[in-house]
Amino acid sequence: MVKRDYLGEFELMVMLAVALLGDEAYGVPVSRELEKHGKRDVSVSSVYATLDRLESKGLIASRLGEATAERGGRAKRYFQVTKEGLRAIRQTREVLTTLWRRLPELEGERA
Amino acid sequence: MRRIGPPLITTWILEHLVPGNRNDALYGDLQEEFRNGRTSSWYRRQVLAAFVIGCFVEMRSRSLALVFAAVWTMSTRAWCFFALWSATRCAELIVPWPYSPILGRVISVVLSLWAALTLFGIIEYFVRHNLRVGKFWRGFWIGPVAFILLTVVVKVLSRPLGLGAVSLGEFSFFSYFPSLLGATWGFMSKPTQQQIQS
Repeated sequence: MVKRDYLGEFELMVMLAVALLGDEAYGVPVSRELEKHGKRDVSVSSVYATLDRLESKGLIASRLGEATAERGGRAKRYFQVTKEGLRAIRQTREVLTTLWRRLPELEGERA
Repeated sequence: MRRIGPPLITTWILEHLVPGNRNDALYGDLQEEFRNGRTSSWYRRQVLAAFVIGCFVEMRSRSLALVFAAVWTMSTRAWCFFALWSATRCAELIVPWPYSPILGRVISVVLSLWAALTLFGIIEYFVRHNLRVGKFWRGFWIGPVAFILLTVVVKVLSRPLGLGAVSLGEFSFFSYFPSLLGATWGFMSKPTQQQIQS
């Protein structure tokens, strides 16, 4: 049986935010994007915890950027969705779409 | 008047107390956001969240140590009476009454901690192939020292808090379990990327 990586809700949102931001995807912009579209408070550390987990699964890759005085001399960590990550996003979307398509039928049966 | 830098104590907590190996980027992000106009309360909330999430991630990555310490502590309660009795009898031969019961307790606890560490080391070595030998030996003195210190703290605090005599269950929960967890925690390395992927 083919191994599939389905993503959780927050994981999927983080992956999509990273993909949307492109070269500017690091902690703060990702959490802002999630706050903007998800309409809820998101802590930067929860974004990093999710990104770390996704990176350990090989769905996200990271690289260190520039360190500035404004950041207390600490470097930014930029993230990028890998090929495997894109495949996982597509698989999750397929599953969700299939389930959503069946929902009107279920609601019709109830009514 | 607005402060120039973020709250000092909170920043110190972020630098020194938040678990995790890669907090530099998070630190930089929070500094940057604060300087771009976020409030001190926002900064504090973020550091608190980082601390809680960091602890959770750390515990999850070492869940084997957590489960092992809990199971061993529970089983210790079952055989503790016998071990305590036999160790006290042995201690009577070495040290005269009234110190022999104390020595007996210490011997029985140290032996059970060492037995636990040996078993856990074997599990780490053969099952996960992930044993750090240097830290493994360090656990052999961290466990007993932590146990003695925690027992003294529990004894001292039990009086002002009005807890009375410390029961075996309380002793297990407050002293034995954290000591064993502390001893196994250090030498258990985090799973590698290969292990996570497999």
